[in-house]
Amino acid sequence: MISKFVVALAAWWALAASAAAAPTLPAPRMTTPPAGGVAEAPEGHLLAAWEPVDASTDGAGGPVRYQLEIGRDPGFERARIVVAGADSATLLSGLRGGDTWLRVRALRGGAAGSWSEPGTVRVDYPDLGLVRNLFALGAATGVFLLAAIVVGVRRTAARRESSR
Amino acid sequence: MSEVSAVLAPGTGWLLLAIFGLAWIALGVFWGRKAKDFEGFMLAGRNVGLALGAATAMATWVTSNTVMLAPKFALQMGVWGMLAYSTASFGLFLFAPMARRIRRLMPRGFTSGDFIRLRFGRPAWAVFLLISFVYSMAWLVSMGMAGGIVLEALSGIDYRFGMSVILLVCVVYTLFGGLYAVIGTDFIQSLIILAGIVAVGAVVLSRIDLAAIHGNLAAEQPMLLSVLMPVALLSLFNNMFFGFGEVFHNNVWWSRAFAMKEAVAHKAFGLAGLLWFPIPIAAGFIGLCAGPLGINVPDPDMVGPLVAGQVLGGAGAIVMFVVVFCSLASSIDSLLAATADLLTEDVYRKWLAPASDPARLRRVSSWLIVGLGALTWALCMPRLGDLIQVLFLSGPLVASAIWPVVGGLFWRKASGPAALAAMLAGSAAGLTAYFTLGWFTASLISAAVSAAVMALGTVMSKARFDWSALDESAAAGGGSR
Amino acid sequence: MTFSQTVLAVLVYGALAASAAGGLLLLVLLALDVKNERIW
Repeated sequence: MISKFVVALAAWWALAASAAAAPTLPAPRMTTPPAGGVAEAPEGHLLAAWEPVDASTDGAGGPVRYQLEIGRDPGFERARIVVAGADSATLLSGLRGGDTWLRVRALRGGAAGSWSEPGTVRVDYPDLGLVRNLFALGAATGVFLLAAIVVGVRRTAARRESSR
Repeated sequence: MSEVSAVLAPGTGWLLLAIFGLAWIALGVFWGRKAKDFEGFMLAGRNVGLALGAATAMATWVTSNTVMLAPKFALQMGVWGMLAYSTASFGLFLFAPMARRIRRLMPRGFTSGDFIRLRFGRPAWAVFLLISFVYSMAWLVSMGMAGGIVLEALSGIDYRFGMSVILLVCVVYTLFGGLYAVIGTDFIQSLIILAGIVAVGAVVLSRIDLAAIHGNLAAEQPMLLSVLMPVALLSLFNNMFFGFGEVFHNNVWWSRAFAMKEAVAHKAFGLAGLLWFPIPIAAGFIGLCAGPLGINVPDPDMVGPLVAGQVLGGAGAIVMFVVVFCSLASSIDSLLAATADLLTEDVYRKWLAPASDPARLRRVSSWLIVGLGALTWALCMPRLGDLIQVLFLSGPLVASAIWPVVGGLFWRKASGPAALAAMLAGSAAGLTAYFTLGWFTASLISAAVSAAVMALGTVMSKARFDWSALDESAAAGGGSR
Repeated sequence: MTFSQTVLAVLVYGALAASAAGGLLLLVLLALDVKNERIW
């Protein structure tokens, strides 16, 4: 009985020791977009951010780096990876309309930690009809301004001439 | 926090600040001697030539925003973002013929406020002065804050020190040198800005070719290349009208029109527009290079220095530091001088103490320069990020002033009530649009509404303005036409 | 090269060249003003 207990204790000790020697990196926690939540990006760009992982060990394995995965579907089957280096934020721009999913994980040496809980970015571009109307309004006002100045310059110059 | 923190040692940063700061102050004292009287101090003898005239208009319009925001616009909104920024140069182009008209109508004019008061009466004048003051302070504060932030990011100099030193240097040389110092230093600064941007751009291009940039964008961020990028399309006209509003109303530009030789004014503004137009593109494209160069951007406001620092190392950081200092100083000095002039002439002389002699006016103006500097410093100290938003909020305000100025210069029937209504309606509509539709619509909507109100008011008006009423020297001499 | 590649190239190279030319132009104009004593 006692020898089984000692063997179990020794096995547990060995397991604990090996775990301490090669710690797995925890998953970071996304803040923008919030883990499990949605962030709006009405202009198609977002500064994705996450909490840095607590990598307090003796620094074995080198600095912690982060990988962000951007997925077109929540299962990340169609996805691409963006490397953020040691920063805990990165700017994403030119995002497609609709929903995009993000998740991040930490890397050290060759080992990767587990993926964070994903967050969603929602890009709702202004309705193209509104864009078209405002663009037309801008063009019209611009033309009116240009005309006012050009015609105004001509007419006031002519008046100067005729009043001589 | 950004990864580019302190590419330069603080010692290097302080050394650069000391060199340029002392040089500018010395130039301020030296050139300030040219001003024989208050008019000389305010308007540099009304005799500035084409080279200095074009350079001062261009340099003043290049702010640290141009150098720092252009890459951010490019990064966030792609190619159209850069072009949208460049449309701000159109304001200088369109102001060129207006500058000529202003000189002809007001040969002894001093400020933009003078024009609005004589043309439209006191109510419109009061609203116009308020808009002008709000915008000028917003611009000053955004420059002060930008200075502190960028200097800290590039060299680790504490925000409060960097910001304070830049403001102090500008106040001192403007105080001693007046518009002569402002214009003289602007010429030097314009050359430095152009050289710096070309140098950084050329080196970045040598490290990576455009095909790679394009390929990377097409693969990773196709929306940035798309012509239909919605926000960029809207910001094209929005930025344009914001620019028109800024240039047409502000005394910074009117004082330059009054300061230049009459034959030169419109050429100088036209040339300045041409010189300015490529700058947002030349500075901005490095924002598009971050991805292809594998540079992570944890803070979009810093993408310009990030790329420059990575590609050029310490030398790139020094160039950016100097370019940012010059673009800040060239705008802050102009704002201090022109806003102090506006308050001295319009509020003090024309309203509070009409009998003041030039010596007293010079003293008042000096106190105002110091006071404006102090107020700016006080608003910058707490480093409230939202203060920069006030600059964007001023877009609809200044855009509403476009039509009173244009209508006032060219339409005899334009009346005071029409101008007042146009400014109020445009501002209200624009501010509403800012909060409901988005910042990239506000100036556009303001300009459109203001146009409609001004046009309608003018058509309905029975007034017929006598242009010679604008020439105050004629009024003093007994009404010659 | 595709159309949009051409556009990008024209914009970027054009802008850099124009900025460089602008600086030189300012120097030339200053020289002319100095010669004719029309600086300010």
